[in-house]
Amino acid sequence: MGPTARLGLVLPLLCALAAHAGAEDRISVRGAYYREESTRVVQPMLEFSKDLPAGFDVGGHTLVDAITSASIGQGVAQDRLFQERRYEGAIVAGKSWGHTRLGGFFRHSNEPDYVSNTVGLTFAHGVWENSGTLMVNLAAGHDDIQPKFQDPKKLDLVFGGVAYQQALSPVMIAEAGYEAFYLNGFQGNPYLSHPSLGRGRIPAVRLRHVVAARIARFVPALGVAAQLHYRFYLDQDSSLRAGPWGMVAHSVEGRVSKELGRDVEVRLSYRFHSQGGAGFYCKNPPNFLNDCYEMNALFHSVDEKFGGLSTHLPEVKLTWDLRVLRGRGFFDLFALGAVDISYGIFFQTSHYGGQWGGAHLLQTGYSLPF
Amino acid sequence: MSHRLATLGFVGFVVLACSLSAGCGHQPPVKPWQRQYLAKRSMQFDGGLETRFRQHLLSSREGADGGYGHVGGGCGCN
Repeated sequence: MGPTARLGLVLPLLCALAAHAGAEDRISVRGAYYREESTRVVQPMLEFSKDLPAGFDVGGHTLVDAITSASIGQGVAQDRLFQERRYEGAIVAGKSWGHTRLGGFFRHSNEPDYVSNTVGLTFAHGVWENSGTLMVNLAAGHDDIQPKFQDPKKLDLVFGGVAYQQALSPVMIAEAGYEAFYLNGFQGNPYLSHPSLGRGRIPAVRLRHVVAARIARFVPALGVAAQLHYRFYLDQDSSLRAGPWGMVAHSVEGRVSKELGRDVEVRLSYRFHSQGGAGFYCKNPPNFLNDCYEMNALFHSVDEKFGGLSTHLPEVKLTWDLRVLRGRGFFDLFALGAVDISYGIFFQTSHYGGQWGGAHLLQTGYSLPF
Repeated sequence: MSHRLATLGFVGFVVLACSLSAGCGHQPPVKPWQRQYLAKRSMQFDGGLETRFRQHLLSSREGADGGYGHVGGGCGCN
């Protein structure tokens, strides 16, 4: 069955679910556009969630990445607009008892040279009269990579995360969490090559640690909400030492949202990311003169995302509740929903988003509770 | 040094989480009828597919992704 046919099966299912709606049910359609010097991506998305009787709930999403300027290594002789596609679908199901919810999910991603499957469990438990929530996530994944004219490759992933969210006051909420990823397999870019050493050789085993904290505060008198996010990242090899990895990163994001009247909200955000390079990575000059890798280098890569870099991402988002459509005939159907549009510029101290003026990120969507 | 900091941070988080979740003897700071501001869209940390698209983009341009509960997906090799 082709991906289009699969999407065709999903849509009637969503319509059938919508016909038996509950209190917290929601359907969202979104579109995203990303453009940089070498790559353009258009992504339509569809997401739904639905409460069922006896404490059960279901949800899911489906999306398509349509990509232009795929790598020449994939056999693309010349650019054709959005000729490479990635299809992703996910299904979520859960059961709640009082303040506790246990759920599971399955996610499948399929593109011509990369197939990824992930299965996971989620647990959430409300504590302290439900003013706090303890969350535990576990997942395992397997990826099959089949680049053209190359041997097949695999990547296995095991993921565990724990987080706690607490309402600190009627206007303030905070969350902190820890995540660990164990990856074993191919983690490089199969289409990037060093001129004399050939395709990249990346250490296969990697243990990633992430500690993240977020806090949000609302100021009722001003109709303003502010958020601050911080994330610390560290990765190691299988011996719990930096080994050939040893990447350390810090990410900070601030968001300020302001209500403009009854129906409109504007959000300004800025994210800064700074990372140190992996131990095995060294950055060569563009012409590879005075090559920093020795000819017998055990590991090597020319993929700049393994190097030291920093990223800036300022973004503006506008959300409009469509209450104005109430009582306007056919359009009344959409009056409970909201539309949003956001635009961001991605600057990075690498060739992806620095010297050519950055990349552009545009998203828009409509979300309807039903 | 960074490893030690991460370990300390994690231990601190576990202690904080246990303290808060074990604090049933105290009044919670927020009653159910006081959550109108906390329920606002602008107070939510995660934006569903909006966040997921951004995370997928960042994971293909930064070698140090993760931390928002999203896992799995494609290569992002372009």
